[in-house]
This record gives sequence, structure tokens and C-alpha cells, in this order.
Amino acid sequence: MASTLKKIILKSCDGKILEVEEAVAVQSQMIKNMIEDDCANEEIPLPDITGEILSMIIEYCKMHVDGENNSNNELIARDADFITRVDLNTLYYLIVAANFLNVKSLLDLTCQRVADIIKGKSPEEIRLTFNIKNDFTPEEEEEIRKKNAWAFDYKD
Amino acid sequence: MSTVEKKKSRKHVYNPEFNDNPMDRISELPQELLSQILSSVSLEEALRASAVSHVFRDLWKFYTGCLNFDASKTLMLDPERLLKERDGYVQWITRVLTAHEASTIDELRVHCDLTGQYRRDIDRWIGIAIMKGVKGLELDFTPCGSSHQRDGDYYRLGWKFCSLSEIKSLTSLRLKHVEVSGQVLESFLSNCPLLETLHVSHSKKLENINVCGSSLRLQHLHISFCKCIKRIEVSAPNLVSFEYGGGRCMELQIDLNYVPQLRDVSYWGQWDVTPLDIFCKAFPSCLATCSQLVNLSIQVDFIVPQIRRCPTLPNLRYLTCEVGSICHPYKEMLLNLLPLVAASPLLHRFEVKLKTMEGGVDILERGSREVKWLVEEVEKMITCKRVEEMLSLREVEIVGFLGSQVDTMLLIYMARTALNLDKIAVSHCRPNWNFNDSARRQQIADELEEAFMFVHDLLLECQTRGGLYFFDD
Repeated sequence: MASTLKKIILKSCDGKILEVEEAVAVQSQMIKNMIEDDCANEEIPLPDITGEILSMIIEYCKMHVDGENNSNNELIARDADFITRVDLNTLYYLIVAANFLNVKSLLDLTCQRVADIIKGKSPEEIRLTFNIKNDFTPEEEEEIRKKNAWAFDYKD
Repeated sequence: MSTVEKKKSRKHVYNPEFNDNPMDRISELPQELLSQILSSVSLEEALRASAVSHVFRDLWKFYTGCLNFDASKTLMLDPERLLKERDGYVQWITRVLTAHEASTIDELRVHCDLTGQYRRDIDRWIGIAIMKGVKGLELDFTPCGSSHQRDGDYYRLGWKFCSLSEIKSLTSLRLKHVEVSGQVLESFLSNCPLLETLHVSHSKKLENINVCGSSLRLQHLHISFCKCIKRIEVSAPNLVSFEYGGGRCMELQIDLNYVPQLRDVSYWGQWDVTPLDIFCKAFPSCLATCSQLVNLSIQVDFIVPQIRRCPTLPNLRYLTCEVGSICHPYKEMLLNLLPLVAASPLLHRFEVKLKTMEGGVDILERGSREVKWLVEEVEKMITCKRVEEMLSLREVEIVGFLGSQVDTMLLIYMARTALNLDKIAVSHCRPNWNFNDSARRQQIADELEEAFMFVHDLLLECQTRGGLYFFDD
């Protein structure tokens, strides 16, 4: 049976070729559009996505296609399991790839994960977690804090 | 799981607090993705993040989450500070809203002790939100602390917003301690075709509200503590839930004229006076049109008046009655709830919550002899009123059971008439008696113990019909 299903061929930027069932590939709105425009008959090169990230995305899409009949709660639990295994670097590449391929549910999931990490953190803690350089002068930072002093007025 | 396995599995879980991320990748994401990320945290957190770096500084301007300004956990904790700093807080809200650049606002919520003296700012906030197609608008201007003394009048929500065509996006309007007239509410209803939720509470001058229209989408209507309210008239084809709560509403008339989808009704009051007839006048008669009603929740302080002409509630499944304090002159009043039970042939669950009990309650002072007498009384009542057995009723719960004549009678009644129970749960509340005489106190405690044993046996007797019984004292 499986052999009769139409396959889409994807090529990552590091030359990895992946064959994906159409039902899984169309989770990406971009690929879906290409199929509809009849542009998906040859391999589709994905210039900014590595083989590793592409495999993860396919794993995610497959999980959603296979889990179509599962309850909402089950899918949420699987999503959570998928996303908590991802480190920050990978998370960044997943966001970029999910955005490029237009896989909305994965984009939402990855962005939500970053938001969850930000939640409850002070600006210093956010910088530390994501290795963000503080490019404000002390005066600039002071002014921003003063302007939104009400947002800094909180107790945990 | 063994310790070794535990350690192994923990390795797969990424711990963001553990910094193994040497590159700042996040700041390289496109601005719209960063804004999407920040829109999932609270507005305050998004504003705080503006101090992270230049990339983060203006992201909050494209915040699409709920613009929530909540002073209840900061400014409002200290009345003196509130007086000193409120002007600054109001200006800050105005500044944030005017600097906000996203083309839409999903939800605006302001919770702060504000009066009409801030009219210009508040009007501006509402105007900005409506122009950006706000869906949810909530203004909670509850006064700080217990004092309701204000240095100004309530903020009054006027007509002018109803003429803005963008108002049609509104799906939810919640007003607390905001002055609004029935006409203005009706104008919102007719100009907001998508409005699904309308909550109005503590609006001092609201007298009449007419929620009528064949194309109304309204699903949830909540009116409470509007002390001048005289009439609530509802004809809403999609209304699912209706809640009324309030203080002295001596002249109140509620007309639920056409509510074919109404499933949940909640009715509660705080009556320090005893408007005996309010309950029966205003309520059961309006239930006559609610044939789809599934959940009914009633909470009354003080007394339960007799319900005359109780309408049939053919679909009612869940009935919850919370009764404040019961005392001697009204000892039969819990039994006044029974017509509601009897009028609901499909009732599945009946819950009675007895809150605070004050002195003067007839506790069972004669132990099992008294309970036997009560059983006879109830049996007489059942025979003489030709009460039908309630075969649909599966669950009965009495919370705060004291062992007074009246709650014991209610329990006996349920045990004698609800013959298909799966569960009857009774939780006991120890009363606070101030008997100076310790011998007398001990005597009462002993009698009560004996009475409870008898009640316990009564419940065991029910068990032979296959139910589960809990008597938790």
C-alpha cells in the first residue's frame, strides 16, 4: 500500500535527501502550494534548513498526521514531549524553518516555547538565558525602566 | 524507575536555566516572530522585556495579546499610595496605548480604582481600542479597600462609542463599577452584532435593561449588584447562561421571554432584609419559559421563602442551593426547596450547601428519639402531599450538615424519595455553641452523637438499594 502513496522529495542545505509522504508534506503550507501549482514533481531544495532540522520537522508533521484521530489532550502531550527535548539553538532553527515552510502549528508551538522560557524572567535573566548582549548605555536602560516603571512594579 | 534510568531520561529534557547556548540566536529572528513570541507573555512582561536590548525595545508596540492593566496587586493594595500615584498610573496607560502600533487590539482590560475624574483618559483608551477593532473590553473600576467613598462620581460610559463603525468587532463587554444606562447597553447590543458576553455589575443607576432582538448573538448575560435595577427583560435566541445577583432588589422583575437555548441559570442574593416574596415573584415565574434549563444554581442568605406555582423544569439535571444561615423561626424553610426538586423530573444531582449557621437552630437534643419522630413527620408529609419517587436523582450532597431538625428532615426526605441514588454525601459541620454550662454542653454532644448514629443507620438502610453513602463527621 505504502508504495502507491505519492512521495515528495526534499533536499536539505547539507545535501540530505528525504522522501516524505504527501499527506505529511502538506502540513507545510509552502509545500502544499507547490504541489497545487504542480511544482513538486522534482526534488525541492530547502536552502536554509539542515538535514537534522528537516528530519525533526518531518517527525513532528508525521506525529500530527498519525495523531489526527487522537484526542486534543493527547496531541498537546505529544507536542509538549517533542518541544521539551529541544535545546535553545535547535529551537531557533526550528522557528526559522517552521516559518519558512509555513507549518503553522509548529511555529506556534516553538514560539510558545520561547515565550514560556521568557515568562517570569527579569531583563537580566532573559539576557543570560539567550546570551543577549546588553547594548544599552546605563542611561538608556534607566530611561526605559523609568518609562515603564509600572510594569516593573510587581511581586512574585 | 531505577535511579540510573532516571538520570538517563533527565538528560533528554533540556533545562533552559542551564546555559549551554553560547550564541544569541533569538535576536536574529524577524521582528514579527519576536513580536509573536512576546504576545504570548503578559503585557507587563512584554514591557519589561523592552529593557533587554535594542532589538527588544520596541517589540511590545506590536503586542497582540490582552492589553491588561491590572493595579489590583500593586497600586490598589495601599490606599495612600493609590491616592498619590494614581494620576501617574493613568498617564502611563494612556502613553502605552497611544504608543502601541499594532493595527489591532484583541482585548483591553483595565482594573483600577478609577472615577469619572479620569473621564478624558478612559474615553481615550476605549476610543483607541474600538478603533483597533477590540473584541474584549473589560473595565473594572472597583473602589480600593472596603471604603466605597470616592472623591468623584463613577465613570459613565456614554453613547458616543456606539457610533463608531469599528465597534462591531466587540464580542465581550464587562463593566464593573461603571455607570451605564439601559439605553446605552441596548445601543451596544444593537451596534455590536457579534456581542456574546455582557457583564454589568455595581452600576449604581441602571434601572431597566431590555435585551431583545431576534438577531442577537448574546450567549452570556450577567447582571449583579445594580441596586436600582427594576426590570430585566430578555428575548435572546442564543442566550445560554444568565446570572443575576444582588442586594436589595425589592421591585425587581425579571422577564425571560424568549430564551430557547438557556441552559444555565444562576441566581444569588444578599438580603439583609427579608423580602419574602422576591424570590418567588421574580424567579420561578421567569423560569417558566426556560424549558431547556439544565443547571440551576440558587444562593440565598437568611431564608428560603416558599415557592408558589413552581413551573415544570423538564430538562433540569443539576440543582445547587446555597443557603446562608438558617435559624429557628424558619426551621422548615429548607423543605421549601423541595418544590423545585419535585418540578424537575430528570434531576440528576441535588446539592445543598449550608453556609454559616447562627444560634437558635433546633439541634437534635433528644438523640435518636427525636430523629424517629422526624422520620414520622416526613413520612406523613410524603403521604399527604403524594410525593412521587424521584427515580432520576442519582446524587445528593449536603455540605455543612449540622444535625438540626430542618437539615435532618431534608436528609430523611431525600432518603425516602430518591430511590435510585448512586451517591449520597453528607459532610458535617461542627456548630459553635456558647453554652457556659459544661455539663449541658456534654449532654447535647452526647444526644447529637446518638442522633447521628441513627442518621448513619438510615443511610446504611439506603445502601441496600445499591448506593454509596458517606457520612463524614
